[in-house]
Amino acid sequence: MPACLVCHLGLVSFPEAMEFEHDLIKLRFEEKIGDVLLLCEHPPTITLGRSGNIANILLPREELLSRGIAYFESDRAGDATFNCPGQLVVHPIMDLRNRKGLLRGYVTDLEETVIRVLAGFNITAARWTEHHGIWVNEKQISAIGLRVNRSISMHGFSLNVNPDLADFSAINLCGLAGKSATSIEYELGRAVPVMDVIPKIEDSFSDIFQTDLKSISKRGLADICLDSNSSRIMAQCKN
Amino acid sequence: MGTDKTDTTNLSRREFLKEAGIVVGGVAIASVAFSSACGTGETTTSTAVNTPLVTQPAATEPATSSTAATTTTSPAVTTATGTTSTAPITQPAGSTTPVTTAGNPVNSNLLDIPGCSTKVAADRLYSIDNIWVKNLGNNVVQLGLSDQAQYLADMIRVCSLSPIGTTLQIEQGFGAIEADKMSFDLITPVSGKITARNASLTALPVPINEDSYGSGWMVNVTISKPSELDLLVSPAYYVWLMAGKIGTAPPKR
Repeated sequence: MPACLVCHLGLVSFPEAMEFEHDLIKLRFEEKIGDVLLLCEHPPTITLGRSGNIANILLPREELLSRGIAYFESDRAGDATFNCPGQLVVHPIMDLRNRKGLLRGYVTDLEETVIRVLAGFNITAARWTEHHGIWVNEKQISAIGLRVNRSISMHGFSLNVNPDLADFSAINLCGLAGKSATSIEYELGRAVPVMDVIPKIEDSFSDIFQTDLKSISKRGLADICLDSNSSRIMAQCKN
Repeated sequence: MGTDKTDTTNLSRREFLKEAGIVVGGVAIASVAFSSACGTGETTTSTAVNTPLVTQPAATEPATSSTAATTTTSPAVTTATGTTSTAPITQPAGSTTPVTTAGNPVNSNLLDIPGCSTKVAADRLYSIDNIWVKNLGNNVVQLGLSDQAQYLADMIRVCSLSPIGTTLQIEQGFGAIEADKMSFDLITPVSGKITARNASLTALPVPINEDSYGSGWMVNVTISKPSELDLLVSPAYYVWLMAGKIGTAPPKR
């Protein structure tokens, strides 16, 4: 199976994650690197998608600041989303030219990745035709929003593992008024560490996308971004 | 990618693709990105069969610059006899759809993609980023999204286009479209200045899905580097790409 690098960035700010993504997208498009799967958590952050409605951010800027919630505009699809510790954010940087099943199926496969992870915790989750994301009993447990630039995908999906759900009331989730969030921990009624979920995401992604995941450290990935012409990179990333 | 034994370090993307055997005639090909419509059995929502050569935009923003070309307010008016496509229009192998020739208007100028439900307009060229380029003459080209790309984007909810007067550099973005869960950058295959924009798309992008080669046109560009048109591919070649035929002999560009 083709290889894909997987990197756990840990807790990183949204701008830092975006910087990684943009560097990797350029390298991916130039085929100096293979597909990459980034996993991270963000500090409390609200992002607004390209066509998002600012009115879906329910707190004034001053209150966001006082609560330590950062705000950024994003170039992904979708409306307002909330990221915070305890929520895994997964960014596949994939060259969609290599996917025979294609662009439409790509979103479906990402959703399926999440659904299978949740099934592994005996949580029944599903897509909701009218609304973005993955839902459990009409509560959103995962949001999805992507951007495709020259056939390279970026952004991805989030999965609520054990975040403080009260903070999600700062926005209308994905622009949907009156909808609330849930998490794996809330649904199971017990503590679930993020580290327990990461391997399940990797396994599910690997299986659905038929790819072998090869771990790389954040430092290693940063070196790749700095040194894109290294023959070491091609040896590491070649399919 | 992955099958070539050549040391691929320090190669440009174009060279890399050439080494991989998917560059023909000096044109780098983006491979099978959008061949996914093939074999799905789904019908494209694009009204493809009788797209006329003469197109009239529903709403066009006039150029405000005094130096704007006269084509800015009626950018898409062409006739079959006056088609200025730079690609010779020939009957592609395997196509069952009649193809127009200069001076001979026909009911359809769309090429079939084998095994797919989407179509390729025969009177324009294509970029590897799935943008069609129609030569309107006087160094003005019109840009839009191919039928294949609109199908794969699914229902487009939002379309944003750079404003009139924007100076474009090749391979930069000139806008974006957004479907339910994905946004797509629109990449210009030519450098130049936007001289007209289909303003109706920002309010209602439906024409992109329903008439991608006609009323779904996006912008007109007065090009600054005509040689960039040589980097585009012919309709038959685009059909070959979309049908996922890399590895087989390509048609003549």
